[in-house]
Amino acid sequence: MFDRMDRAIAKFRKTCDYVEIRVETSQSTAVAVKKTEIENVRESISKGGCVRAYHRGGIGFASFNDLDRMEEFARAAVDQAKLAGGGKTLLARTEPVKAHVAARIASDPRRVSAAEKADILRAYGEAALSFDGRIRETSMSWQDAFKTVYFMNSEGARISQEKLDMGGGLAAIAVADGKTQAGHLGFGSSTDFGCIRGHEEEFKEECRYAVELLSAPPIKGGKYTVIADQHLAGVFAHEAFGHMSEGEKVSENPNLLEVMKIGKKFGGEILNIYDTGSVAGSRGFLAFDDEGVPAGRIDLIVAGRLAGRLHTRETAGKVGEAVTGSARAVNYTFPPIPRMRNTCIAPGKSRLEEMLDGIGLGVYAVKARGGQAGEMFTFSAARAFMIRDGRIAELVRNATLSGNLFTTLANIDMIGDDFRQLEGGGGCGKGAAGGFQFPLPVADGAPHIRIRDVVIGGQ
Amino acid sequence: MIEKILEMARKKADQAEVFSISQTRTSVGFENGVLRMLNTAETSGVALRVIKGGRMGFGVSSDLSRIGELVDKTTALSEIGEKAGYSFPGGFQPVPDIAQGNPVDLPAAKMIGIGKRLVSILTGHDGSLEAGAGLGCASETVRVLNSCGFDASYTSSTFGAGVSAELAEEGNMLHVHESYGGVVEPDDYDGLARLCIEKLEAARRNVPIQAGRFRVILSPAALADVLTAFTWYGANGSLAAKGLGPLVGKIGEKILDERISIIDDPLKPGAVCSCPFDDEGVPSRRKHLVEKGIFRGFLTDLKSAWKLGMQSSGNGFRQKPLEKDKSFAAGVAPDISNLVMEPGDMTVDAMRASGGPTVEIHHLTGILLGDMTNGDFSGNLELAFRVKDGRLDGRVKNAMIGGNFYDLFSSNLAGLGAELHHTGNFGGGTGWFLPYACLDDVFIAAKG
Repeated sequence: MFDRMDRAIAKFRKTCDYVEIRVETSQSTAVAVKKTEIENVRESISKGGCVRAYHRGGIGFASFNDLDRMEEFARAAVDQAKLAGGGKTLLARTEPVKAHVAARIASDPRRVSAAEKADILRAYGEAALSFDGRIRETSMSWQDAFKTVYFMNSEGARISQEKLDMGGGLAAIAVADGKTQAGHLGFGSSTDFGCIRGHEEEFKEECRYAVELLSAPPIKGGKYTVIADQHLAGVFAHEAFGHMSEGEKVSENPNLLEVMKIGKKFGGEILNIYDTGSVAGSRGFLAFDDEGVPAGRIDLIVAGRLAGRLHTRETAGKVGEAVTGSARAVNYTFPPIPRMRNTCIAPGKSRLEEMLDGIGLGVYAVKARGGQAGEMFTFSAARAFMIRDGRIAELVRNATLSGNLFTTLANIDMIGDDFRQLEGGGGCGKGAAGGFQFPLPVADGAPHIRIRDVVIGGQ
Repeated sequence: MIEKILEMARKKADQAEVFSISQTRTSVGFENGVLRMLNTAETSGVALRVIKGGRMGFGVSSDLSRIGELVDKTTALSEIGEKAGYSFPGGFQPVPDIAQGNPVDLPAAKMIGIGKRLVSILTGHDGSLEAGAGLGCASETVRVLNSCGFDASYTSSTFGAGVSAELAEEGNMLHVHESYGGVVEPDDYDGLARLCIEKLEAARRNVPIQAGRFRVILSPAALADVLTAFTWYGANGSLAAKGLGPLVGKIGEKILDERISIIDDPLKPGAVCSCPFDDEGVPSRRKHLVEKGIFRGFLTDLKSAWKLGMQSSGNGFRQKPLEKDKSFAAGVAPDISNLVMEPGDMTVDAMRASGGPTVEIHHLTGILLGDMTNGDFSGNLELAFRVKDGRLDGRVKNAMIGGNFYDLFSSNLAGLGAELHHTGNFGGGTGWFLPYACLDDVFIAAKG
């Protein structure tokens, strides 16, 4: 594969500032089971590539399936970069690496038949349906993908990486009087098929809450002190802060760079947030990013102050910062953009009881169903409990939290000592030039956190 | 090659179907006022479905050098696959040509010229804006071929243009955008930039908002987001087949205000989601989903229709969640094509003139995070305005709207706008044609 890529790069190396080629082959299996029946099984075979060229600040990008026409697409990308260019190409320096990264596999999903995967999922479904008559629907899904990515650029980098990614989810839907409530859980790994097993107890708890939520009252909208559990706090780190740390906006907008200046205070001394590609086994594990940059750990907030952000070589080069190994593309049809890997709030010192203490009326928000963020973020808790006089009280439904990122970070007044690394079954989606990129394997981690003055929507 | 896959697969199964798609796309993007990127893509792939012994196997590939493997893997999956007690559709009855005009195939240089003009209008208005623009042409050829005798293909071309402006200052970020999507070029590119400036100026000043009950005006784009509760959930035949959602058993019943009619129109000339047949080869037809407030039927594909004991409504599409483009790799699921809501008789001025506390919402975020299966939604007011003395009077933020789609659009509707606007949900799609909507007595949660 490299020979062909090398020939195409050699042809255009001298005619533009920079050119790279990425080729991907992948094979994946997806299984979905509803109740006890298979809903969907799919085998997927994929092959494709892309060329990205820079010239005088302009970018040309061409993606294709027909690898025999690689040189033709390289020419197209280089011509486009020339047409777009008119300034200066600013790519942060990085050492061109030659490496092969073999997937570290503890237990290989490719050795397990689709039927066996379906059987494991089916067992979860059967257990949920027999848990309570009001659990009417269960939905279990699994996907594994094994990918080999070949990367080569005009600076001499030449990297092949094998990547295994696995994720799944279990959902139970409770129905009564025409109303539905759901319980979910997710899991994933980059090394171990075994991550599909061992969720019986947690799923049972999700089923129990789905049933209880049927008769729980909706939360009353308003402003509350919120304690978020590890899962929700991790989603908060990802949605509310992680996306804002992605470098492309500041690199294009000098005003925003001023607002997001390194060293600026965003939260209290207790707040530390980082993003790392180094946690082995995590879905956020990454050896090299899609520009061939090693993917280590980067501190985003240290003691409440902005300490770093997530960069591609271009966004780093434009603002004069160092590369971070955060340039990622979902697949060969997209150019790499700044993305998270495994985003974490570092543990603090508070115990949950201390955090509850002193809250007259508040909300304990548990697990996130999902989130979306800009300057304002929104995410919904899977379930929530009112906090009354320092104690966790009744269950409520429909708690959707929202807020302004900057004021909310400043309002985090306690951080727990109970950090948990969390692997979800889905992935991160992000819209950018070149299209909406989803689902990118990521992970997060956090302890419990307490936030003052959170707006919760309601009726 | 496609025929060969079908031939190989039909020998191993009772029924087989091949869906193939080739897509080409060229786009240009401007960031911070300058041309940044040109992008081309030429991609293709196939999806194979086989039914054997009443069970389905599904495989996809973008590597046509391995079709033997695709056929083997897919037929093997049918041993354990989902039950499929239906047949792929037979011979295709041609439908009237959905006249799309001449496809737009602008050279990159021309798109660059238009983009330059758009960003210069924005930066000419205010040099401190981060002005962005994007233009793109896409063309795709879809072919569906099955062992029941269906073999047809069509090519559709679309064109899109968008502009955005962003202001960032201490404690305040403001992003506004306008986009167009169609099969022909827009009449007035500059109008996109002008609308953007209009919104930006109206939103420059932040004004406080106290939690409470408001008259809420939804722009067509905001209405599109809220309507997702209906198109993706309530009217989704796949959920209905599982007995889920508030519309199960409600065909023929009144579910919304009688002034509301919602049409799925895959044959609408010039609309981006028009197609002669769906991605399973079922002929397209225009139909009411809601007629004068009465629910008329679900969006179905072959599978959900079979489970519901109905005929497919011709809404089996292959799209990945949240993506607008068809993908060979996506499974078939019911979805809307072009959505048309019949207009009302209320002008936007009349909506703004009630005199009571009024908020006009143009952009919501987080809308999918509510419990939409029941019709409950909630969204963050990403771009919304206080209305005072009949006009937009500053931006309100840090606030959320929440409610139940069916309740609000049954009991709280003040009126629908008299004009339809070309829009789509989640800032795209653009095959939707919606009016402004005005609701009374809606709760908004806020910090104040």
